[in-house]
Amino acid sequence: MVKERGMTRPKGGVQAEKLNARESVLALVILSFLTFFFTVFFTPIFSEKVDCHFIITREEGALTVKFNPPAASGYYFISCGVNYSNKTTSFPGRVGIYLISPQNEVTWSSFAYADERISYRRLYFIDEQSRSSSAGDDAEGIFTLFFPGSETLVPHLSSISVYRRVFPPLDIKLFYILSGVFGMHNAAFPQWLSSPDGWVLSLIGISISASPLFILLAWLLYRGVVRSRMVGITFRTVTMFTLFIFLTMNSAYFLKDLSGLQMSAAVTLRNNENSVEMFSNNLPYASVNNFFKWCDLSIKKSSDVVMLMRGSSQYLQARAAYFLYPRKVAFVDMDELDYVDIARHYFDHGYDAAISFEEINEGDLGLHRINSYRTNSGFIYEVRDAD
Amino acid sequence: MRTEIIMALFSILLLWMSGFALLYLVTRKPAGGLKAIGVALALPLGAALYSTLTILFSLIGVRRQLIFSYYAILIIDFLFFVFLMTAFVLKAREFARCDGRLNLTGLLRKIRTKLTDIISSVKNKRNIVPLSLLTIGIVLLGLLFYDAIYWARVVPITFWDSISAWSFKAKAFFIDGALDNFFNNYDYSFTHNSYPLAFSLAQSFIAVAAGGFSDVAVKMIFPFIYVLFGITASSALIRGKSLMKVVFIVIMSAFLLSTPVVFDHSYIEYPNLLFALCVVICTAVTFNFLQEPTLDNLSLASMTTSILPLFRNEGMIFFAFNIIFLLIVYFRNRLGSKTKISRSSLAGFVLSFVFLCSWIAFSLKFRLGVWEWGGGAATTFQVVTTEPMFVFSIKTYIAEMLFSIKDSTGAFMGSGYGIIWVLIFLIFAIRFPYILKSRGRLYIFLSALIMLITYIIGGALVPDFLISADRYLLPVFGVAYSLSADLLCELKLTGLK
Repeated sequence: MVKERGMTRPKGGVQAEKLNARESVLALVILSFLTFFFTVFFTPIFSEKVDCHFIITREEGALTVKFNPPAASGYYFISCGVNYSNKTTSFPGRVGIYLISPQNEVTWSSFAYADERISYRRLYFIDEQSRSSSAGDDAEGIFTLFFPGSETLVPHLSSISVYRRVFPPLDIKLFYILSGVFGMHNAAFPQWLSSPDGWVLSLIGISISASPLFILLAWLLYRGVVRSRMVGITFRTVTMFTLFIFLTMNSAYFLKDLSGLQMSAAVTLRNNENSVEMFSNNLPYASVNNFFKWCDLSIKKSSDVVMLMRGSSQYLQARAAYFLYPRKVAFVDMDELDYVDIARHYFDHGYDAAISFEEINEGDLGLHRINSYRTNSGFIYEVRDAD
Repeated sequence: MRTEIIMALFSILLLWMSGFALLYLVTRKPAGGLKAIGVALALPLGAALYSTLTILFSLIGVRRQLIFSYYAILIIDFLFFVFLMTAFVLKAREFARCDGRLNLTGLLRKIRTKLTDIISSVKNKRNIVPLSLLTIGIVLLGLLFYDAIYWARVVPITFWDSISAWSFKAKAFFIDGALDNFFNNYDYSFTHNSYPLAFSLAQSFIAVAAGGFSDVAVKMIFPFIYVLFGITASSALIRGKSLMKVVFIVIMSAFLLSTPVVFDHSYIEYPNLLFALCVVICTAVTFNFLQEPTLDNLSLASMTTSILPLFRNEGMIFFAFNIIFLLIVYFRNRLGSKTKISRSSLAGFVLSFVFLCSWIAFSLKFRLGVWEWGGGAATTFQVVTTEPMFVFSIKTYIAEMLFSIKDSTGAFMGSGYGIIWVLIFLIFAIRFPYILKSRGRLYIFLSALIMLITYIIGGALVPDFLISADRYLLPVFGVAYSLSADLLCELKLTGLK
């Protein structure tokens, strides 16, 4: 049905498109040079370890690591491995890891696997900008790494060290230049450029950049043989092939991340079939979800609900409406001065239940508490009878 | 939990099969004569069919609309199944009558020959590289699909934006069994009533089939969309059969599916990837029409284009662009004077009309508003020509392509694109003369560009959209990736023997 399409090469033009052997080798050398350049200046393969003194403190489950950055100027990055674990079993979870510089907070919303077997490593860099900004500070630029935790979810630091890039890191410089051009001064440095898997990429890069060199050597030694074999390679083919290799490298890096997820998934499935509930208990807003689910079970289907809350977070509103459907939910902001009148207006128009995260003044609103999710938070109220 | 998931998988199959039935009805060819693209098209087409049926029932005034349209889908599936079985039996009888080859011994002999072929090729070191690459690629795809299924099962409905605009409606429709109650009696500011319903209704369909609304079961559609997106975007423009091409498609799919932003969409509830899939299929079918401009292909292209507005609002804009383009090609080729409209192509046009008009009629009836954002054409012109927001929007999208600065989903992989956009730009730059030479490729390139410009203008009009630049780039990404995969496939390393 579909015709063969695209360009058909003219018969006489085949030779014209091909380069001769010398040009092919030149193309390969350029490719080799490009890959080598990329490897050395865009990845952290050549970096030296720097001695640093780390002060590690733990408070209410959360872990704080403080250290003085090295005195000499240069581009540094921190490599740290963190495991998150539970007392009974291991399970994956999403947590934020923050690198806080003394003056301005640099946040990294990366995540760590909460699995004992897999430690997740990610690099953080200290660049000249944040160094200079911290230099004048009295605290002598103490950097802080903060790993949030709780009683149930405990972070463990398995390794931490600071490295210095030997060659000028063009990736970071390019990022700063371009982010300035695009007006994104506050943008976080992309994870795919600053990752430790740059090491893996570097190895691939070096082996790729070395292979054309071998070909070059072979050409010098056995010119006649190689010339006859390489005559079909065009410059276009070489460049496209280079791009394909870069695509492979890009994908390999992310596949490595995914393989971590894969292992974590397999371990978790084997360990705990009931991991869904455990997982949801540790997600942000998951406890809110559980509260709303409990409300759904505790409030009559026929009654409409007033939700008393501070502010007007659409995150909470959407959840409340989702979990409490088919009840109508009205939202009253308790920070407003006349919130009592607004709430009373709803109660007069058929809404006969109320929920709140915090304890409220029942007398003002004419409510009485019927149930509570926790002893000090999450309450359900009912409208008191007129008598 | 497990029963729910199995029922959800089964219901997705039902939806998929109804799409196949519809495709067969229009084209009288299996999978619409489109092969892999047809297989991918069947799933969104099934969702569009269910949504349209429900909306039509609602317009007529049927009370339990969701259940009725569910039974309608069941009947369509059953009839198609009976038809398939009949065709199979007739074919088998025909075989038996002609040369009697279709018996067990013959079948076994065929399998044995095939196996011997593969084994001998491996023994003789023939095709050993492509075969091993194919194995690696297929294993990778399998692992990615398993990952997607796992995460879709483990992560409950989480992302607030998708709850408020999509999943909430799915749950509400399922509980009511109808569409009317939600739009008549509830007035939440965050539900964005102007959003199309096909995606929410597909989730409701799963819940109806599973007999209960489970946060996890309704998400089982995402891994399928994920894998279909990868395979479709890699193979959309590649023609011809050869082992190396299959290997290339599988590997390119694995590359695409390992991109964090795509993987993240395999288990969170945003419909952007589904919409991107529809857009890629739509451009591929139009590309097909450009290669072979017949009325049948035109009807198929118009039907595929008309499902875009059922999934997202910007689909209406893309629909308008594509329909105008199709009409121009139609009149330039003077197809109308050459051929008579066949019954099957008429069915395609009628279906596209029904898809579109039912949704517009429904949104007019309930005053949903097709477009709730920004101002009119005058405002758009003013913003684009005078205000600095336009420049800021362009900068944001380019920065997103280069550095993945936005992470609107907050999912595990961080919604990044890696260096893939840079590579796509380079591929386009190197092969640009080649793109200009082929009409079909030029169409694909321009459609990606127009989509990008649409999103840039949208970002200038409503700055909130720029927060989600990573998600909005997905359709553009899919189309651009399909073109770059096609250009890479032309690469011939024949020089190295």
